[in-house]
Amino acid sequence: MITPAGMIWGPRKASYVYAVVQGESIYFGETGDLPARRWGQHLGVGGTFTSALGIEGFATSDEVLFVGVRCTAVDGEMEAYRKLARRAVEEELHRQFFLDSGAFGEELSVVSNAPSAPVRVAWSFDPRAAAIEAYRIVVNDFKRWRAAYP
Amino acid sequence: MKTIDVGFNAARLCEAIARIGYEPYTAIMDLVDNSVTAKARNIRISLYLAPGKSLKARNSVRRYQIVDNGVGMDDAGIEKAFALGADVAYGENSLSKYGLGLKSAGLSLGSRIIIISKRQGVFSDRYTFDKSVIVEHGKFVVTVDALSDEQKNSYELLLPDSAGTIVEIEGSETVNHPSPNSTVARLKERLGVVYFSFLTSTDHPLEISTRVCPDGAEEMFEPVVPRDMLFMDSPNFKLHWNPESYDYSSPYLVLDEAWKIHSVTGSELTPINVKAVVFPQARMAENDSPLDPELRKVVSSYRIARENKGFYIYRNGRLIRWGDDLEGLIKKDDTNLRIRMDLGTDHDDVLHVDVTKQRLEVDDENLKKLQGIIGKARKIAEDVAEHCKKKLEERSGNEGAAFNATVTNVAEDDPDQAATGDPPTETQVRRRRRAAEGTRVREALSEEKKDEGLPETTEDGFRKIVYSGKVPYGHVWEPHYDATNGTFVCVSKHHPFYQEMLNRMPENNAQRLCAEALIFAVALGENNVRDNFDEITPEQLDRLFNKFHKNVGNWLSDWVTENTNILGS
Repeated sequence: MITPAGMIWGPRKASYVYAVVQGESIYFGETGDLPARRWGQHLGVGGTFTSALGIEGFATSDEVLFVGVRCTAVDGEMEAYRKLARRAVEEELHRQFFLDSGAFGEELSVVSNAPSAPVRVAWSFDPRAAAIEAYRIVVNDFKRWRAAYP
Repeated sequence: MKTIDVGFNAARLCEAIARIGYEPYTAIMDLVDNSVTAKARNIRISLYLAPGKSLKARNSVRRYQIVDNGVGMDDAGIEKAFALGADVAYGENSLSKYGLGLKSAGLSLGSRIIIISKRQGVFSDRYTFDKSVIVEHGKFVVTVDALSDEQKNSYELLLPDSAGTIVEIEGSETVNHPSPNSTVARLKERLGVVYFSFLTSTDHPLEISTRVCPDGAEEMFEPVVPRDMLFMDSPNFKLHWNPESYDYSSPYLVLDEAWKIHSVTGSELTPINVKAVVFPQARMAENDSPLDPELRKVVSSYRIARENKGFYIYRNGRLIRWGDDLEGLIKKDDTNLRIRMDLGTDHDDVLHVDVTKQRLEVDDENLKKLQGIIGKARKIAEDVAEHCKKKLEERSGNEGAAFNATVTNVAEDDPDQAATGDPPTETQVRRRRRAAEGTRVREALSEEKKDEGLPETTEDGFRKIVYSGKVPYGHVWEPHYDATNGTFVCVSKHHPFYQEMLNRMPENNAQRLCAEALIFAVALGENNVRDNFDEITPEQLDRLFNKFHKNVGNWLSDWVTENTNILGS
């Protein structure tokens, strides 16, 4: 009768990376706002996720998973560099998928484009380590979701 | 169900397997693989030239000979080795695979393959796989001859160990080959790289040596020197890439990951280790390089060139692809990037390793993954090339000099102010205050230059655009006023707009000058407003322009983030 639909928490102005899964497609992104706001844009007509899937909005009854991961390390960077730092994590997150796409236990294909790695900046944190942790969270949440809603 | 033996033409099959794409040097290395599989620790390769022929003449090799001190073979073992698709159980991580290498590589070099093997100090007979005999008999046969005493003595000198194998290829005059000069050059260049991990093994390292013997002479062997094309054994090799401490000479490890790949049936295979190393631009080794002569030699030793860029693919420790671009994953300008991938036997099917074990084919899906995996390494390689280019063009911290020359005859007046007569009193007061502040800024800039090891003064005197690390946080630039020279601007070296855009444009390039002109124009406008617009107080102007700069800085920061590739890398 009632099933949980997940929750999202965190400050509005902070750094996040996220994943969206629908069917066999996965999309990775970053945002400097609470991910729910960005996800709203994705769901709209012409949103990057829906466009990547080649459909107009979510007029279907397909299950969709949204996973948000807060990147506190990014918020330690100077404000002018935070977006670039999130891109660094987002790029590494895509690489983690390419390195171990089997971690999900089923074949998913990535529909987002990895951003260009910002290599000219020396970060105060390790974007790869952050992405490995974020990827682990995404994979675990995906598995919990699949187990709950097979 | 009944089966029908459809047979085959042995002679034509010999022709076919000899033409599966060997070059003479790759065929010799395939024979060397057999010696490695036989656990040899010493392999000697000889090319005997025909009478009256030199290295420079085509088809001048009379005999190829590979001698190893491996485990050797008994009679049954030799017969199996000559069988097509030899029914041999290869050990784990073996370099051999289909049991075709000896015949296909051998027949690509000549028309007769001869094997003499030794076990427990006793030589076998002399087995010959002769194409003309096979044609004559219409089936696969080998001829067996007992060794004469003279042959035994001669082979004993070649193989004094208690076990080993001698493979000889004769009848090479019937095969159209380029001059052996190129074969020898390729062997010398490649053997040390192809068998690097065997040659440097701490547990029984392999020794390989080569020689070319003119007719009737026995030359000395030259040892093969192991060489890692990624230079990870170099004392200059660096494990961590940091754009702020790049030294223009070292190879840097920029990728070291385990790629988890699945078989055609979906099972997980041994992860493939992918390593990428970025080298400086080849020009850093040339005479106009700012590096000292010793470092130039070091950079030169890396042999940075288009033919050496790309993927170095190893299978069971043996190089099978040298500088592959893998269907365009590596572009022609990625000259300073080398990527090592270590495959095992279990990857043969999914990566379609062919009979020669020198070619493989990665399907589109895995290519896409690999492209994503190496993307950052490619970007760093491009950035390093750019760093080197800039270093080569560098004129000792002369940023802003070219812009100076463009403003010599351009006035800085406020168009609303009278061009003649003294400025209003309020303007004079404001300018005096700002000139005093400008003097303090210039003193601070001198200190900053000193800290960076740059000359405090420049030959062309006062700079209208100065690049500084002391501009307020978040601002792209800060305008100042000098009592004698008028407006000057400090542009932030810490803002992404400088690091990702301005800094990447050559100093006297038109794009750079236009960008500097725009910054200067806005700075001049701000100065003139601050000095002449007396309807609001200097304090209000401070707050107003502070907000203005924050907005400019914020927008440019976002714009840069979205357009980091706009300058072409």
